[in-house]
Amino acid sequence: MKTAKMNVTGAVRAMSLAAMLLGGAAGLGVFTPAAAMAQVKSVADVKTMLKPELPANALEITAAMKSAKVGETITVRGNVAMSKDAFVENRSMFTLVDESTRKGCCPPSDTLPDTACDIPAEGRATVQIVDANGRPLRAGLNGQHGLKPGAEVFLTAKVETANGNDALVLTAVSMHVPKAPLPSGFFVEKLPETAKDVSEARKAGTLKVGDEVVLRGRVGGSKEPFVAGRAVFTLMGRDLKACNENPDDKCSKPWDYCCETKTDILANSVTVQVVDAKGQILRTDMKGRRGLKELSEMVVVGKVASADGKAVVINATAVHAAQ
Amino acid sequence: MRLLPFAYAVRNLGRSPSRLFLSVAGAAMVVLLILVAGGFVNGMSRALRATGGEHNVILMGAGSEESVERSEIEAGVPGVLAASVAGVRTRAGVAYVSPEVHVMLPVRVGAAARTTTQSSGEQAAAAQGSNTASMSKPKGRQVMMRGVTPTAALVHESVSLTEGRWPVSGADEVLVGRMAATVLGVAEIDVQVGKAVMIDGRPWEVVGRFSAPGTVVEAEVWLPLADLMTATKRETISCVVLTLDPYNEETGEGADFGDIAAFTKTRPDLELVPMTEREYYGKLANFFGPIKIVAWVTAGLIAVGGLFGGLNTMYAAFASRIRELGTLQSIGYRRLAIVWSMIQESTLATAAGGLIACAVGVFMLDGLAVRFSMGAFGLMIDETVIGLGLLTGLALGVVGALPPAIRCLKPTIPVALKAV
Repeated sequence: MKTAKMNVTGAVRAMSLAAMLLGGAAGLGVFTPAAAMAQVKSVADVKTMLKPELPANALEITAAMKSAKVGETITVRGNVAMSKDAFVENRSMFTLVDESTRKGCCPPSDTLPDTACDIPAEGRATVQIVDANGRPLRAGLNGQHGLKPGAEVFLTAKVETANGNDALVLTAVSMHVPKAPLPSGFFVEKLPETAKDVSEARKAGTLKVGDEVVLRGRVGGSKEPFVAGRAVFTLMGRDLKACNENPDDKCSKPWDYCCETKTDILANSVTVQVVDAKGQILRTDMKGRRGLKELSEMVVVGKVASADGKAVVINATAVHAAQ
Repeated sequence: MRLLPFAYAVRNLGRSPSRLFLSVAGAAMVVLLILVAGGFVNGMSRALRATGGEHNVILMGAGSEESVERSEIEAGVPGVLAASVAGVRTRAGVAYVSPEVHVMLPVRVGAAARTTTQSSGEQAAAAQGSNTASMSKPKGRQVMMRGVTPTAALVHESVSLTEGRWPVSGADEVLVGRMAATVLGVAEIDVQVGKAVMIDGRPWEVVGRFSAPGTVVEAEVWLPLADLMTATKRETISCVVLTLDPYNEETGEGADFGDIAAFTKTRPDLELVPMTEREYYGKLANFFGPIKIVAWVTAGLIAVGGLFGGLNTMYAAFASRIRELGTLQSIGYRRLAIVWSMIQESTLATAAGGLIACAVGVFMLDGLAVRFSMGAFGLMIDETVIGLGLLTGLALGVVGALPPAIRCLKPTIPVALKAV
């Protein structure tokens, strides 16, 4: 009996020790994404870092530069530099630049400038993908997993170097590479003037194909106003109230305007899409960019692509996230 | 530790054949129940999961995402889709776009069907209820009817015509699935090609039979879209099912779900909601989740009942052997060795029961058709379910033997030797 008791006590002690070790390991970050990075042994393994969803609220590089602190994990958005030295040869490192630095700088890929050094340092970040030893993989990333000069990248990364001014080195934890980048300067900071509410514009009934429009509205109109993987969403006018604006409404998805009739929703909405040169909707998400979500207020600048009296589709050329 | 010989446990089993029979039969019943519950849950899940095509997208009316039967969309939508969405699969110029009507209707077979072999005048009379003797006997059952065009055969790849031919529109002809007889509660012969089923008060001839292995489609009755729309007096269709060519990133050809979702956003006037067919049937599978839980809980409760029955039997079996157990201890066998032998004895009996149940399950229950609201599916007793059944059999043996064994070994050796 005594032996049995000793065995039980020993087992309890062992279990407690194991629990403490596990807890300690978790506290030290052994089970955090940083540990997952250690799994990357080759360029092929980089695929495991690619996430299908666009991370919400990614910072632009210039903004991240000012706030990033060494050791913290941040999410940034940028474009791979449009230069021949954007990717380090035989090393998994590349230069990510702020969108604002790209303006007027989009040469065809065969005439890329040799260097991205002309881009101000405060708009550049160096990204590395490291192995278990913390060293960059000994292979280049150009052309791998959608990474190429000009490619848009949403990056969740650990800050290795930051001085709050002009140096930002990031070790990638995960990445989202949209299949198509949004046009440069698509999001504008300044509120476009002469914006009309969607309801007002629809009621006037004057929207014709080819008209230049500036419309203001809120994202909504259905349970899923955004389309995953496509730059398209629906914008609702102010004449209709979202469900949460009705007293005592407990609707879990107030942006679907389920308290309104389908006819009213259709008459007070426009579909906004971002298309490429061929008129195809871009294969990228809108949700999450600049904090965009359901019921976000936006001002859209664009051209009427179709207006058949029932539905209106706008080809957006610029967007201002008002809220 | 010196163990008792295995033969001791085996020979003990034969001391009371009736008790052995009860132990084996009890364990077999419990394991069989576990197999039925597992086969039921497995079969239902697989049937719903397998029904959706890999590249199929189903477009329904907005607000009817939970049931295609409630959905209504304009009949012109399939044409708009075929013309507007790039990347829809085509073969010989025919787009894989299938407009469909899904509706549950009462269907009668049997005596009513036999009226179709009579003259047309008699048929009409039977349909109007004048031939009450033949019409009142058979009872109509709700069956999923699917109004289709020939493109349905393109988008539903699992469906294959096994007998007969495709129904002709306007001729009151239907195709029946392989499991339709189960849903209708009639013999296979009653829905053979050439027989008739009563739908909407008139006979429809079965001109073909189809199979769609492992899916709920097999329990449906298919008929021409226009005929079903006329019969149900509707001008709208329920849904459009289309098959996409997988998107090729290098060539930019093909399409994926996002393209269809984007199309529905740019045509809000059509009031469409897209869903992959797998997602739709996955949601239906979730809807039936509580039924699956009930099946497991019922099986578990009966298993617990079986366990208590087994405990009772084992108490009786071991209690009469207290003196024998005392003797074994007095000649040097440790209590643990005796418990081990008792577990062997009990487990042998329950494992035998488990094996018998598994044999019955594999040879008699696997594939057995079960009717449910969506149609029918076959019990699916696969290796996982068999494994679970065998484990249950073993667990019954171990758990059933331990309490009585401990109780019987509790008395000291002198007390045990004096036991009556």
